[in-house]
Amino acid sequence: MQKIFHLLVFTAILLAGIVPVRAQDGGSKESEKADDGQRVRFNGLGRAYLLNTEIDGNVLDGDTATTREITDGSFLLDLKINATPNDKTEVQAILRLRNEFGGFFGAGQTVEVRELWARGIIADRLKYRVGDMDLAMTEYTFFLPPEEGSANLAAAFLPQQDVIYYENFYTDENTRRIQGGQLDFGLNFTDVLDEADFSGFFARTRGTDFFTTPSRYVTGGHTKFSTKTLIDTIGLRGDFGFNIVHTFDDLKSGDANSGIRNTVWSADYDFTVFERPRYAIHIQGEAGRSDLISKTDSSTLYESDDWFTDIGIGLDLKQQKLKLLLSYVNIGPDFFSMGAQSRRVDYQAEKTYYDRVGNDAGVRQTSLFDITRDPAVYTFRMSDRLMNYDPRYSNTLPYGRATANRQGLRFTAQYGKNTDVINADLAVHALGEIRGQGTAELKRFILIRPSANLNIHQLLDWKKTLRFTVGYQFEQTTRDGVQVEQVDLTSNLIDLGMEAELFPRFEILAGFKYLNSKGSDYIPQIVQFNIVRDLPSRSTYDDQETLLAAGVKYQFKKGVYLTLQYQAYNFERSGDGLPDYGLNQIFALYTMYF
Amino acid sequence: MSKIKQFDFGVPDTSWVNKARFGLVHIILFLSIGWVSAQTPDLSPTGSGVLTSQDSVRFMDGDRLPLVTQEMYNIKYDSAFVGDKLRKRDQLITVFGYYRLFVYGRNMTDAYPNLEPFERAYDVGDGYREPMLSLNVVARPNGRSSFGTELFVFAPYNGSGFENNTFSTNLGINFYGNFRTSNGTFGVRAGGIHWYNLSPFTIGVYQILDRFSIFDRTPWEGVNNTLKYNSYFQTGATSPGDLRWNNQAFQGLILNGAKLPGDLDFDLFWGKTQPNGGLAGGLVNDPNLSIPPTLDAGSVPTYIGFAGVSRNLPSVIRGGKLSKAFNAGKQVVAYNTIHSRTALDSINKDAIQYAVHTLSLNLSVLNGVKIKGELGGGNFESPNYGKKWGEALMMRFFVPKKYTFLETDFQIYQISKNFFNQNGEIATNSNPDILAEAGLLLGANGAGGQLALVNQLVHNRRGLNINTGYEIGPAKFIAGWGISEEIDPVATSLSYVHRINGLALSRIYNPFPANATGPAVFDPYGRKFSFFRGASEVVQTTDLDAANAETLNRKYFQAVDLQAKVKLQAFNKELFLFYLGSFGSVKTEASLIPSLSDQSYLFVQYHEMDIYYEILPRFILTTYIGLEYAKGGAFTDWDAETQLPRDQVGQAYGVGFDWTITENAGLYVRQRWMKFNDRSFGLDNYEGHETTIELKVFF
Repeated sequence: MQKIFHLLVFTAILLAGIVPVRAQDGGSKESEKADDGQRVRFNGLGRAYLLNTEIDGNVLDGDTATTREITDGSFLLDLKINATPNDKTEVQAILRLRNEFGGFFGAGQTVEVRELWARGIIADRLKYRVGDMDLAMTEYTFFLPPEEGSANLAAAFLPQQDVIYYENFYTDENTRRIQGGQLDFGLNFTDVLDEADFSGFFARTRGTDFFTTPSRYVTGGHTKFSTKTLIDTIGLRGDFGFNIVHTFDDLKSGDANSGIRNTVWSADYDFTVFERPRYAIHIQGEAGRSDLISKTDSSTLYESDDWFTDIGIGLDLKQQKLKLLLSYVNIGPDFFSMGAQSRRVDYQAEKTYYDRVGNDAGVRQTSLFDITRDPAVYTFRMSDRLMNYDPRYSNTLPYGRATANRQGLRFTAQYGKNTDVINADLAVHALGEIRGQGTAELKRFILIRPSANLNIHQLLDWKKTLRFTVGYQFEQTTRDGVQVEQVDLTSNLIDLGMEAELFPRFEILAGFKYLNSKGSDYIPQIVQFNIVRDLPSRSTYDDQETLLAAGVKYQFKKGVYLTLQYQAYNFERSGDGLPDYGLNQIFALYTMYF
Repeated sequence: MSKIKQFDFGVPDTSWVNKARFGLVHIILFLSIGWVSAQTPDLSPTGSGVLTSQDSVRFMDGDRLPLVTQEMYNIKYDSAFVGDKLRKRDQLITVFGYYRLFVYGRNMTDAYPNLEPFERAYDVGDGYREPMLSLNVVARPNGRSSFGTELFVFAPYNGSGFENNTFSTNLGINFYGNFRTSNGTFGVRAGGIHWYNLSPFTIGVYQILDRFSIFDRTPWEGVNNTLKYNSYFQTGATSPGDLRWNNQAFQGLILNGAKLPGDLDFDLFWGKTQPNGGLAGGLVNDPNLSIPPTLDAGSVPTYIGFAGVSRNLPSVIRGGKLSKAFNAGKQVVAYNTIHSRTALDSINKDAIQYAVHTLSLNLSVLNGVKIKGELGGGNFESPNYGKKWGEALMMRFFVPKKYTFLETDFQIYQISKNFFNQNGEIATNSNPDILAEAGLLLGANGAGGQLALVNQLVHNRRGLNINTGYEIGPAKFIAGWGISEEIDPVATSLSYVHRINGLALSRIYNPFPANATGPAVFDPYGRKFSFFRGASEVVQTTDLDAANAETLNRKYFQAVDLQAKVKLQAFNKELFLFYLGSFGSVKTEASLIPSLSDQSYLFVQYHEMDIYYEILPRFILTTYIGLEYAKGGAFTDWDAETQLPRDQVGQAYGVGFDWTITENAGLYVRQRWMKFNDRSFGLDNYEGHETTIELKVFF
């Protein structure tokens, strides 16, 4: 049935007619729109990905069960079919043809619909979109926070990151993939306000099984206002908006009788209070509140609500290409936002290789190597509970900026552009808990993350690229008190990278990641619906992870490249008595965006 | 391993006129374009000397091929169709294909007992995985990269709605890229299936040009009129335009460099061929177990679960070649190597592995004499078979008329029993010790001491093959003769192909049912097994040492192939008569001529006669007669009741027509009556008939 549906979709769109394309985001490319008279276009992605991974180390001592070497891979073609029957309507489907490496003549082949949506404009005023969509609002309402485990990812790891991002629909705007409908419209003003944009959406994030699991929906919207320059002498102007996201379970369909309600609303702003050609000063931030209810048809099982505040002052030194921002944040302990706190990395997800190792087939802990390589440990879905995290990689902000139970200062600095000899970033978070977990003592968090890119070719005026990248992350968590209350966990993460263009478009890539974590902490555990258990068993760390990558990359054109790489990963740990192991990987990845 | 192409053992395809109309060929064409583009980025046709594929084959008068030396020349292909399409700016993606309705029916009036209740069956499709609708999608995002795939659509039309319809990719997804530097041109092929050829002894296929009947159509044939038969008469090409005929299916990564300093070229590859992809298996000796529980003709096998080998267990083949051309490309010398390793257990300690290293030659000497050869060796190793090296030596000389009166082709060879390769043209199923370790590849057409055609090489043999031919008036006569001997007397079984009704049998006993673990053995005595579009039979020898069950005698093989092709005009219409005769025997002593004698293990002869006549414009009457005799000798298995060795007669009579309805559509009907009788083995008899109707429309 599904296959036939795929076929019908494919055929129907294939046979659609022809008119010029209208420019809209996410649809056909600009270059294609210049093509005359075409109302059906084909684009997409092709990828051949071959990997050979070996495991070694103490984990194999006496082991007679673990596969020493795994060869896997796949070849896939995502055929994007974009149809514009008229200049106000656009339909797009992506059909995925996938062939498993080693599957010959039909074995290991799948055909599926990866994406399907339609959008258009009603009466030249109202934009609509139905089907698959990627949505982001603010960092506290609806947002997909970045993954951990990286301070400045080396170019050698970017092809694999590209695979992960593509497979999980990640975008640069931290959007989250949902399925539903969206309406947008805007207003222009002549006085005070320059323009106002309104947007609303409704999506289903889970279907019901008609027994125990209810359908889940998320709806919301935002208004964005931009003022004109209110005082010319100081350049006073501002952007501000209001946001609301409401996630709820439908308890009327089927037999499911318990579900949740989560509402988050906020106001965000960015006021330019003073602007000169050489510099500008901003006041920016966001404040709001969340409500969470777990309920049945007739009663409330759990209820919580809390506030958050994020206010900062920014200085933009334009000539110096330097941007500074100092913020104060206070995120209440019970602040809960499914759309913003659901993480990318799911530590409970099954890895696609070496998920279990050893004679006892124990689950292998998700590591830096997995975060770098495996799309299966990533998700874009919303979780109604706080997802597990690993404090070695991220303890200060495991749920992104919207991490609850944090207050303190945040400082960020950005210097330069990608085309400069040097561009650098710095982030410093000095935060603390608002409410102790199992104790009145509060944890303190320090996170310092500097990173820089050094474009040697710009410095020496070379035509070929020679770039070094460096990133460092220091993170420390402490808590005072009696011995059982004390926490002291420190981790250091280093990223180093090199890109050297040997011939035109032919690069040598090298990358290095190092993580050291030492100390102990109590990892929060969920015992009931979103209730954190006090004082779970202590986790002790004395770990060291290294990941080295070296290889070549040839870029046939932008978006079309082949990379061959060798990667060596080593995980040494002495804190928990578990054995060390290493993974060695050779892979070839041919990616073709067209 | 056995190298009559496992997946393409069919009748030839000579549809070289209906340009751009092959579904499968289109995709292959595209593969070639990708490959060609690695060397000539403007996608221009490659000209002679570079094997490519195409939508059509352009046979030019000036390229008329000698009767017996045609293998020396690559058929020239016309890659214009897709090349032109892709050159057009507004055709980033090109979609084309064909519709093929194949109606199949059979009624076995005298069937093997275990066929019940499937003696009579009618369905759409013959059980082989061939698309009813083939949609080729090819694209070239820019001058340096391209891709292609073929969508597979099949509807069995069985009245059950659309639940049983199939929509998938056919062969896979292929990617290409190329770039030029001042030091050479480099190309990459990724994905698969890529049809790949390194050298005959490493990655290659035993090529047969015209020694098969073309009465039955192949699924990938085009729509044409008499041109197919003209091509067969003129060139003998079995499947021009189908790269599968001369190449192995490969998945993975191929890097190549050309025009390097010093006129060097290279290939490097890493990936899987079919044996690495889970098609390895073991010979099933219990016929009751091997017969698929459901024999629904027209089913579309899923191919999932072959051999039970997990695809992510290590099983890869890697290798490459370094070649140098001399004298403007007239002399080419290449070093070729492969290494295959297949893990047998989850911890990857035990593995089957084999390697081949060869030096291949392609030389022109003495004003017209051409020499092709491959000299090298290989080894096989498994947990129970220590690493042993063996030689593989072959030289072939093509001598023009001026030296020998008749065009003559001489081939001498010696191949050790320890030389093993599942991906080359040499059949390597004759060493029972290796066969016990590696098993018989699903799709193989021979096991044990294989009764081979002239020029078909088998390991543990040394021998000589000679071909010659003569053309007189409207007739062409070609003869081949071969003799060989076992180097080490090891074969305790022999095998031969049932050429006459093999295709019909393989449609009944599908060699690729879901969850197959090895070749499908189907007859009551457990000695016949099917492969792609064919069937073979194993003969057990009985002159064994009672102490260790090893053979007592060395075996000598004789083969003769005869062919006559006549093209006439009858009532201003073309009339074609094709005769094929093939004789083979195995004896305990050397003999020049295949025959049955007291020293014989086996004597098999085949006679096939095809007649094609265009009785009406675009309407061709097709007829076929096939006879097959196989007689066992004193030292082969006897029937317990009659106390006699096998004495088989196979017969086939066929009639049908080709009707080219329009330029792009054709209707093809074939009716075959078949009969088989082993006068010694009472249960080994079958009789019945088969009807096929094919409607093919290209777009």
